Amino acid sequence: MGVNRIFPGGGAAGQARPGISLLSRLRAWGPIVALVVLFVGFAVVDPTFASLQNLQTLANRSAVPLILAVGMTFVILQGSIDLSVEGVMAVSSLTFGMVVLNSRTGLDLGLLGFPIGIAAGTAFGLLSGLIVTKLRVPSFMVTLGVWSASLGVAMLLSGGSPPIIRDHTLRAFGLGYFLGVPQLFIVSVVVLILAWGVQNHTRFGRYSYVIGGGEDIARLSGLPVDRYKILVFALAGLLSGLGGTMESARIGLGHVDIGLGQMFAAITAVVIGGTSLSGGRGGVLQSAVGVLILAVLANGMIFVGISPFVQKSVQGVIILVAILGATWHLRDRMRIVK
Amino acid sequence: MTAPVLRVEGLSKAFPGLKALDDVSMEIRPHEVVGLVGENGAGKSTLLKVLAGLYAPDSGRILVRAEEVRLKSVAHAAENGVGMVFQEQSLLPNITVAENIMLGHEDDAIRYGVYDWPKLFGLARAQLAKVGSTIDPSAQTDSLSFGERQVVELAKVLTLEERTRHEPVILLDEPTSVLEAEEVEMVLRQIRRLRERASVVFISHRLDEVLEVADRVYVMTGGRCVAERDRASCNVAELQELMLGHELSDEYGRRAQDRPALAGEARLSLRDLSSGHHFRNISFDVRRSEILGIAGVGGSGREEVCRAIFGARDFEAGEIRLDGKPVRFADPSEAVASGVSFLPSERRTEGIIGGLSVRENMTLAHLSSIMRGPFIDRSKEKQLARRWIDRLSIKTRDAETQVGLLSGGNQQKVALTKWLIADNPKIFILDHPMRGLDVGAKAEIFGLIRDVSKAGIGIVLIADTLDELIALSDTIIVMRDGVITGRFDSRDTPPTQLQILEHMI
Amino acid sequence: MTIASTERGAGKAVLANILGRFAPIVVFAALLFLFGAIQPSFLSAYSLRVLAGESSIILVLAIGQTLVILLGGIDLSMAALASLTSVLLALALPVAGAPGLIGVLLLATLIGAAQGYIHARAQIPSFIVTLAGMGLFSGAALVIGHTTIILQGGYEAVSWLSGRILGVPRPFAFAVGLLLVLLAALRWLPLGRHIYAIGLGELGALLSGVKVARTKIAVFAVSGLCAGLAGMMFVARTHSGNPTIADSLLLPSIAAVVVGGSAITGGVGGLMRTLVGTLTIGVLRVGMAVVGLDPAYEPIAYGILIAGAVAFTIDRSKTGIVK
Repeated sequence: MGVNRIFPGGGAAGQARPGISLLSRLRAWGPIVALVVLFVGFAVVDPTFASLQNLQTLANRSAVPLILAVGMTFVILQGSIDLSVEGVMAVSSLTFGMVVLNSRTGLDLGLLGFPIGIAAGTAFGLLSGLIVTKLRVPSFMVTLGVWSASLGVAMLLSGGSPPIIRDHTLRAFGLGYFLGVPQLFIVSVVVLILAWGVQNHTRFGRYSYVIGGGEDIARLSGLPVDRYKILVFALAGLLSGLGGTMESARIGLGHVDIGLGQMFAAITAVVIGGTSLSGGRGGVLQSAVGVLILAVLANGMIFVGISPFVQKSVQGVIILVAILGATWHLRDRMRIVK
Repeated sequence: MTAPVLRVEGLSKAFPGLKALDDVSMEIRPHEVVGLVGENGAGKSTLLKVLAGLYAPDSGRILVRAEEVRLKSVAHAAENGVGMVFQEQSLLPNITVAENIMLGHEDDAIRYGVYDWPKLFGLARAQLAKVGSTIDPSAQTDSLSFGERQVVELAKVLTLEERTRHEPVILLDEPTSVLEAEEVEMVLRQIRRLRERASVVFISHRLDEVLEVADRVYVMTGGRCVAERDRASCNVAELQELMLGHELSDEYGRRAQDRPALAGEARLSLRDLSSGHHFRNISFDVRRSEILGIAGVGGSGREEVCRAIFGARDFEAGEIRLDGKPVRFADPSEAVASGVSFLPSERRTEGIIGGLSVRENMTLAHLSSIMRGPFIDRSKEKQLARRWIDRLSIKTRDAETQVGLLSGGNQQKVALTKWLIADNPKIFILDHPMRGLDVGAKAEIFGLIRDVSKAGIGIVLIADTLDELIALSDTIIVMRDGVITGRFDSRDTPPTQLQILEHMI
Repeated sequence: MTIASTERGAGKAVLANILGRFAPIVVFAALLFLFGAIQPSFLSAYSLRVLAGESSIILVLAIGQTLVILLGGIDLSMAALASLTSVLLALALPVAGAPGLIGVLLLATLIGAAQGYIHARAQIPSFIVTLAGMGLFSGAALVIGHTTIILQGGYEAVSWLSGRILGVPRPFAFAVGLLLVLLAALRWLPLGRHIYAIGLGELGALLSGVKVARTKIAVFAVSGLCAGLAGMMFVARTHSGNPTIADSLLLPSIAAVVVGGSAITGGVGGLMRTLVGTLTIGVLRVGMAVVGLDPAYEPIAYGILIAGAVAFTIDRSKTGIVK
């Protein structure tokens, strides 16, 4: 069926009016081509780049960013943004770390730790959604504040001594492999596939496109827009929570800094993948390509000997260039941009 | 005489400073296509929006199938069987045609939150069949032409049938104005087909199209409904006559004998100015003290030409000369520096800055006139403000009041002052300067414009009504669909409104 | 939106303006007395001096942020640029002394101007441009600096920032001096008029011949300079440069501006309000420490303050659809 095809094509009889030009086809295929070029390029420079071990490393590195990028994609599709990712991950990480077998508390809830940690993340996401819709404060401001607040809550929980996770089953899950593929990566892929289904075939997914493409028309048509906005922020919080708990299981700690740098990486991935920051266009598969591009770039740069600190700068430049490319044609003398 | 399906009695609606609807009464009968015509600002769009539930009327009754209703919202109007296709496209370009048609009503095609695409496409196909269209419901909406999108909008509005038990009333606001010729035919055909299952009211400035399709025509002017005609018993010329309203008021009739002589070189000179499909080969001159009026309906391109002169939009070909020197402004700041002034039509969002004070608004464009060295001389500024408040009789508590709180007429005076304080003004462009003003304010602005021209400034004027245009202008040019279709000397033997209208439509 | 609701919006904006003017002062005074009641030593001269010293760097950042917010935009990169500046200064001062200081500050100003240029000419929203800038500068600082760089020499160039003047810590006096200079500029230079005009009605400003792009570039140049000055103050205080030292100040500096009553929709507020807001944030910071509250409550407070203050002061007639 492919209603929202990754590569925009098809159309009614005859007139190709606005829409499917050579440029937009290029833009659709661009990220995948870039991914392939980068991968091949690095592999040529150093063949061990393409070894099984390095592929496993790449998969490990991409697991959590993939999940975060899915949440960020839905938020951005609606035309909003979520800057609170790192703080929400921290809260979930600490919550998770303190309810499973750990060095700080006497609790030992095992697998229940996941839903509890995720619930903490979802709660903060809900909070963001409510403030955006009910108090009508722009999302970048709200999520900036929630980032700060959730980080503070995480710090309170951590209290200076991060809980060390002692539950061996959980740690084994976080570190384990299944048929050579990191288990956490499998979780991410499952989430990605589910998200793709939701995006293209459920009301929540399709309405996200509608709200991003024309919120005023959506409201005029009687759609319960506020409800879906709250849901999307809650979903983003949920996925940040999942990311935080997964990462904690992997490194064995509940830590305030668990999400460091992830917000930037998630936004960059979504933007490179081709999802427009103004909303209404793009999707989770595109963002997944973006995540892989960033992972290959980061990994490859280490292989080539470039300082990992450069990553952040590179991400900054990529965001700028991607936006420039995407919105250059919209420039107009009387256009107001804040 | 069949009972009307929709009837309004004594409908009135006023916005601040503007009476949009004045005691309007009309009725729509079943299986009827009714045309609604009139000049810009006659109230046609407002009437439809009241019927569609977008605005609440100040007074009057609306009766749907002989039952009085108070329409609270667009959804409520839809429940009563009234739906509107707005002039601005209301389709979302980034989803499929089917999703657009069924927007908000997909329940039958969704189970447990998941879409049943074949069912949705089927439902959409059924709607499209009502208008005889074979557009693929799974197509992305932004791949459709404008004409096809208009058809989809019609199909979308017809979902009303499933939501109410009755036959719907469909309101169309300028359904053909953005379309190419072939597409116009297609849409007109659809409108005719609609008669079988609905009643239609549609606004158009293309009188020939209206008479082709409508059974009856209502003519509106100045917010009032002034005439009703059967298609059989009227023609385009008669409609045009009816559209032009009222007698010229005395104010305007006073053809000032003290109009300065027009001599000398052109202050502003356009040669073959062109910009895409907005305007082509525009050429005219404006001499010292001359008032050049441009007549035309929406889409004629006259607003775009004015903005191009002011540097608010670019142009592709042609030349603009100011006092003989060719100019091409990269943005309005360059135009202002060269002595061009511009009063935009949207007063609240473009003409004034509501949050700033009267004083600050007045000096914004020419701060240099109140500077002492690199600094603003605030006492000089306050004096200037007080002077102009007196000179133009601006009703405000003082110069520090926020302009957003003043009445429309006084806001317009402040907006004018901003340009009047310039010390070397050459050209003044006025876009609908008297829109939304009461009669007294109109007269004042009218006189101001005349005075300004006496100082040797060339004026380009777009007026709301033809009688204002004829009364004020020395020369009139008429534009239609981007080109100039007529020129008139309006000084010694002014043209009649009818003569101008013929070239406008 | 009908015309009637715009008029109502104008009236509401005036009310919000008045409330916005007085509420911050009331909040500040209330907090001062609250903490003073719990811990009387909080109101001692020593404690107040600590408060002033602690607030001075945030004030400098908030000053730059205020101008950007008056335009209706935001600058998320200031803290990262301040950190980068501290690193550059730690490297430049020993070899180039005072000229080195001027050079680095000039660089920071140019970087800010560049962000403003991209925002204005490419018409990319300010929060995206400065988000990207934040990453760029942070990464650059880490690459150049790795970790804390102790100042090996050249401290004389910034030694004027240590100590007190007229009983007030010098950094605070410097920040207030900077504020007064910019306040005068906003009031008496056309630039100030243009900034408020753009914030309140950019379309109207454009059509009145205001050079909007140039104004935006100038404003971001100033915010770049302020970021540079903040970095300089860090170096003066710690005798070192550090690539992440200012990062934790981004939120408090934004909070200082919005808590002071300036609306993020633009055109409403000003530098005096930012001073009140900064002192309020300062009281919160120092007060919480004096009272013995877990420092983790600080970021929570910022979050609540930012969301609350913005919700209170935002001009709803302008926002329409809120994303």
